[in-house]
Amino acid sequence: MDYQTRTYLPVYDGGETRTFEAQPEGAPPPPPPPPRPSLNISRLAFLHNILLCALVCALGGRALYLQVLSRHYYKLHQRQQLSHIKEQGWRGVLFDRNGHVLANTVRTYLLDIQPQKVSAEGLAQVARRLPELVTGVDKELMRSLARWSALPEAERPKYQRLFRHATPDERERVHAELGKFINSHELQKRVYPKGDLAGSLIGHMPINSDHTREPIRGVERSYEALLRGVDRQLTVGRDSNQRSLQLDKVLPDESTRGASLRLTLDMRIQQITEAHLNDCVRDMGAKSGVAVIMDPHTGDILAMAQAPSYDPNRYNVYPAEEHALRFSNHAIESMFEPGSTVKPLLVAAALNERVVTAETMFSGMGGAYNLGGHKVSDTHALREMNTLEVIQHSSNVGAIQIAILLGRVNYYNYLIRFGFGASSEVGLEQELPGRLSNITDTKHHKGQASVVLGNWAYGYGFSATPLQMAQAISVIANGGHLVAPRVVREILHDSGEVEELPVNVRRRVVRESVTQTVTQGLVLVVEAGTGKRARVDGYAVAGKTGTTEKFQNNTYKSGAFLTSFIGFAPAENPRFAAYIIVDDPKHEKFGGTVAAPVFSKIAKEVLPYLGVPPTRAQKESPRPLSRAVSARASSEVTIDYQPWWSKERFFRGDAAQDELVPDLKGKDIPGMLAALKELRADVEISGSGVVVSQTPEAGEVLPRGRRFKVQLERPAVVRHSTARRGAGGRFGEEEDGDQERRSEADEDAEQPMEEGAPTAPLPVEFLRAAPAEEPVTRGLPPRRL
Amino acid sequence: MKRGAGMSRAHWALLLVALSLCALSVCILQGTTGSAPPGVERAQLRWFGVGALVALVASQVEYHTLKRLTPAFYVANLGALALVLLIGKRVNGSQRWLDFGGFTVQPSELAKVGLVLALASWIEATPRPRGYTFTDLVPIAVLLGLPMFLVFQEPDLGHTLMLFFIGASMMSAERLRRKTAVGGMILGLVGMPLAWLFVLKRYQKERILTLIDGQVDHLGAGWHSRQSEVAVGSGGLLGKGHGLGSQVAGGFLPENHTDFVFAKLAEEWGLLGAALTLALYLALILSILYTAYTARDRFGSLLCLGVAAMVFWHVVMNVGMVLNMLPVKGVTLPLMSYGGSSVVTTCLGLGLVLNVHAQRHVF
Repeated sequence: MDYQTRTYLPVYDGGETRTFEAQPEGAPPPPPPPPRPSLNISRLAFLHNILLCALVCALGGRALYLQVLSRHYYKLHQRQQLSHIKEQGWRGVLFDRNGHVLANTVRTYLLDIQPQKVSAEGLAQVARRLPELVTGVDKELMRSLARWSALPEAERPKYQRLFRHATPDERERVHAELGKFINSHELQKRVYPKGDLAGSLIGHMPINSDHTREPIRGVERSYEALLRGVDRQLTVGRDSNQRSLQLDKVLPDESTRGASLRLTLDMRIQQITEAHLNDCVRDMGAKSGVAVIMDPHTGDILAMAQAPSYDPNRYNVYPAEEHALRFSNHAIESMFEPGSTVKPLLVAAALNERVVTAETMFSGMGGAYNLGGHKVSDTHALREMNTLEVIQHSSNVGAIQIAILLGRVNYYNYLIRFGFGASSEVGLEQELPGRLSNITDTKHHKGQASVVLGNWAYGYGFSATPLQMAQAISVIANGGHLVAPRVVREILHDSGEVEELPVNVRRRVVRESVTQTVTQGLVLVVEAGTGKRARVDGYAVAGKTGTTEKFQNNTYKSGAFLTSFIGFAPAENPRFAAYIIVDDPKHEKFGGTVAAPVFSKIAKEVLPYLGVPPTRAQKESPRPLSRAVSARASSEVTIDYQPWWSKERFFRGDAAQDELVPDLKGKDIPGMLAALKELRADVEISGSGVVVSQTPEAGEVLPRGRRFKVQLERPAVVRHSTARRGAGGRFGEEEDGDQERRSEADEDAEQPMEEGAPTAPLPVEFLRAAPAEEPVTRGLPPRRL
Repeated sequence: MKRGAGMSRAHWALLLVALSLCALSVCILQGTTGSAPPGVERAQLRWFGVGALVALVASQVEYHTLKRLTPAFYVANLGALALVLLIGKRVNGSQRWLDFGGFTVQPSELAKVGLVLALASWIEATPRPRGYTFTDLVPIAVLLGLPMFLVFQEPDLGHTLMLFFIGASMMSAERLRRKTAVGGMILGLVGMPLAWLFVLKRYQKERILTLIDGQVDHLGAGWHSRQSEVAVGSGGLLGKGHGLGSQVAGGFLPENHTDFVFAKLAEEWGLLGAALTLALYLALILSILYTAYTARDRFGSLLCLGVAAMVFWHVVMNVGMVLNMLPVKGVTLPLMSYGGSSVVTTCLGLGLVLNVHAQRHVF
């Protein structure tokens, strides 16, 4: 554009020239018009241009404000487009000890719809097609969708969840066909392939409102930190239909996976235990039942069963009033007064403190003991009994005397050492410590301490969880160690590293020899005492029954019973220890008739499963009766209390300096233990069956260390089958004729206390006669401890 | 009539700016996702080709010939607008499109050029150096009112206002008697409430209310303006990067290739990109105004002024809408928004400007 040329151009102007013409005459001639624009710059134009500039400025200012000065809109865009999704870590797997999957995580999809944003045809199509694409869709909901399609958009709900657990396949199909209408969101679903197996131990994970899951119970809860993996805060773009833009790419990768756990549980043993416990609870009309099966050497919980239990997959189908009963893991969350099952522990403590020996005699006291003005009676009054017979017949009178011998402080300390009153360190969050008040604090008990001690002697006045009981009996079973129970064997970290959890041996509680003596007493219980129904063909079982009256409505006389059985098998080399408790059975009321058979049935299946060969003949018939014999001859007078200066206590260590080694050959383990019991000798057993060789040899002078080594071998079955006839028996031949005669008459009859029995201890198999049931012990009026 | 040597006759500055805007449009449409059809940038390129042909023709035909054709063009436009009301394609509740089987034409776009031509030739033919009186304004009001009425019946408030603003801008080059000016203002003040009560349709009122109170209903009438505001606001100074606009990709911003293309631009390229675009429009308008300033005659001058007004008001209304300052309506951003009618109309206008420029020395 050259301005030079433009000045020569004639300018066509619409109004300006005439404007000049309108100027008054006489005015000085206008200067030569400059090259004027063809456009009027009138006042109107000026206003107009100002307006335009203002508009442009407003636009620019607005843009500047929106984009740079105000962060508000930036945040707004983040808020609506970016969802911060908490992606839970991929939860680890729970295996049983043999690698069976008990709990696993699968990917599912939540399907939902925004009915207001979907056309009527779309809704109708969803209602028609979705049930065909996805199994399990609520039909009623589909009818609602069809109904909504007839409504105007504004009257439909804004959001509707359609289905929560679509499989990836189903989700693909839905996406392909109905993707325009339906949104999907990834979820994790926890599945429990074994259904209600060990449900109350494993726990479950209810769904939160934000579709995440948090475990509330069991192993799931207790090992949450390990299992859950690494949560990720995902920033996910969302489009205007709330569909995620990139979520599909974010599948769980290694970094988010939680550790898997190998539990100590054995699925098969758990099944066996649950089956028999359920049968018992059903058949007995009981309220509930708990069984804990534990490896006494390692503390491994092989089974932790309860009836009724629940299926964690379907945790929401149970009525609310059953939640406490089904969901609580009663093995750790319920406390029971142990009743007579505590007696072996009392005896172990007393033996360990050397206040009694196996042969210490106690008076039957006419079947009743006056404890602080209250009569504590035995169901079957005995004239007198030795320590093992206290266990065998579950004598409350005897137990009180032992407890008094042991002393308040000692007993309390031993209960503590047996693991009562404190967590078992099993590592489960809901575990209760039980209730054990400090009996040594006499002020607290206001002079009732001796009553409390007496109550404790037969298992009242303090309470323990079933797991604590199993832990305590494991001390007897494993030779005197308190081993913490555990439910997790190994942690399988996502990195591939396998972290084995160590066996937690917490302390030695009693000497090994003590446990052997107590075992002997426990074998007596099963062979000839209150727990005969716990017998297992082919195996020696050690156990103790318990029957307590429930403390309900502020009284022990409610008519409801807790029946329990505690024990282990095989007695000579225990492979499992068990505690079984059945709450409020209606048809029977004794530990020996309710809980003991459960133990028997479980052991019958579990022992072969564990590969334990039978140590006795199958289908062994009841042994000929033998009189209960012991070292009773040595002490004619039974004293109720032996002060430390008494002869019995003072000299107990020096009595047998020149004892001779007994002949153990041909004895099985209980028999051998019985023979060795008063020698307080430690014995190292190898093999199984009956003794074929021993060190030191029979007849030698007992060496100072009192250590025996014996070699056992399984005897031929033929020999067992002839044992019935007596003459060919391995032991005790000299009594056979006599016993044979009595056995028919006195089965299950109260054992007569006869004098003049042989001094040599007899194998436990011969100690048969016993009351059919243990006495029902009844607690004293409650003194809340 | 002689023609000057080819090169010097072309308006290079205007061409350069216009081509820059076209290139910008293709660029910004290239990354489009969401509601836009795939390959929209190629389609836009085709429309630019058509537009270039139209501009070429418009710039080469002697524009005084066009002046003679103006009445016919204007009447044809009115016919098309009437036709739209009869057989137009109904989209989103309004009838704005003529469907020619395969492609659609929006007569209200072309009507603006028709109006510019008509007003330019009428004003030139009836000069009012002492200022317009009400009587003088009547024919102009009729010329303006006829297409406005027809467009409003579609209904298309945006283009109705657009026609009015173009006319008003062109009239701003003229003088009004003081009485007329004051009377006009009073008329406007009285007329606006009346228009609100009796003329505007419910959805139009809603849009205006939405603007006043942006929080009204973010999922209803306020949705577009809100989302476009958020898109622009989230762009920041430098933007999110080309093709990375999450508002657009997420489908939050509908019409992001047509009416709301500026929001996409502002989101992805930030204030910088937005300012650059606005600067290009400013350059375009200034170069058109320069042409108006240097035009050979008043008709050419008014013609350029009309085209400049058309571009200006389009930009203001579109960007104002995107920035949530003005009610939403289907006003495109010239050359940037995808759409045949809009592109061809703008090119036609620019072709006329080039024509006026080429003939500035001819007489």
